[in-house]
Amino acid sequence: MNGQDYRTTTDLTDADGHVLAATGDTCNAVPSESLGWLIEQGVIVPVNTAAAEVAPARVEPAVNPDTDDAADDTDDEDEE
Amino acid sequence: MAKYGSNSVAFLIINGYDVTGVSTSLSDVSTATLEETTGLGDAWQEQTSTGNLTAELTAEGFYNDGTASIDAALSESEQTSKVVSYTYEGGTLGNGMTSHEGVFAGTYTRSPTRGELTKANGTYTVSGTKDEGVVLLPLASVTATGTGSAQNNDASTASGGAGTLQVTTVTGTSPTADVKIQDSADNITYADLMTFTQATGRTAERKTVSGTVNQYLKATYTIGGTSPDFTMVVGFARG
Repeated sequence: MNGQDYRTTTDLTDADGHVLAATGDTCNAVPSESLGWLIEQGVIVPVNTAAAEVAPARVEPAVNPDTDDAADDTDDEDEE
Repeated sequence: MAKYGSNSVAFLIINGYDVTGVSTSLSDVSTATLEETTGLGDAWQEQTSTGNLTAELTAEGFYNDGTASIDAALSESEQTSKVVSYTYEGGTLGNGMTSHEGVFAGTYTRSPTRGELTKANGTYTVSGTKDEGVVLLPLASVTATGTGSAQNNDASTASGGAGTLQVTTVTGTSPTADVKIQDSADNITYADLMTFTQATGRTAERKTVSGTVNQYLKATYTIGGTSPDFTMVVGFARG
């Protein structure tokens, strides 16, 4: 890890699905050839990085049709 | 360019209901909304795109009242938003997979006719987007934790994307499936891209992601319970 300790912002596995590090773990088993893109994309960050400095998660809120319907229903009730 | 026949429609799934076997035709129409902009002095009518697109699906097939078939999927749920997924090119890793979310079966028609098998036809109005993606995890039975094969897009993309999970059948005692899509820039280390809601029964879900989606994608699944068996398919469409 080039003398720098990192922790993960999401789960990491190898190509076969074996877990390399779970979210929040200090990881020292990441292949060195992957370090570049993992750091660049904020998938791993230096251990002393404050949480506020970590890039936001890539996943956007899920759109759940049932929830939307429920929300719509609530709105309707409010309108009534 | 390859040509495909009806046997290349590996699946047509409506909110977790696999209606492939009772369907006989599928029509997928996307239309640009145009506004006439013909002006005085123009000899020919002029149309200009408004920038909006609409999509509509029409599926025809046989009426089937099985608990996991077309009637269960559509009857009395015309106003319920659904996730619909299908393929035209086969259902193996990397084959094209189209998904719609916000699909309303605006019309569901059961039409018995003398001397014929009763037909069931649905016309679906799409309120939302159409995701033109690829199969990451082919429709198949899964009984233990595992990882799908990598799908190589040859390059990363920068505009996010949408993943779709369709779970069609589930058996076992207290079965659970935690399904993820992961990406990788080098096919060596994979990071979680999105995690679907834990499946415990028939379900369908579409999730979106923003930003960079790396060159390689794969689906992973953690299966729990006693004698669990999930039949499911996972796809992803890059933005």
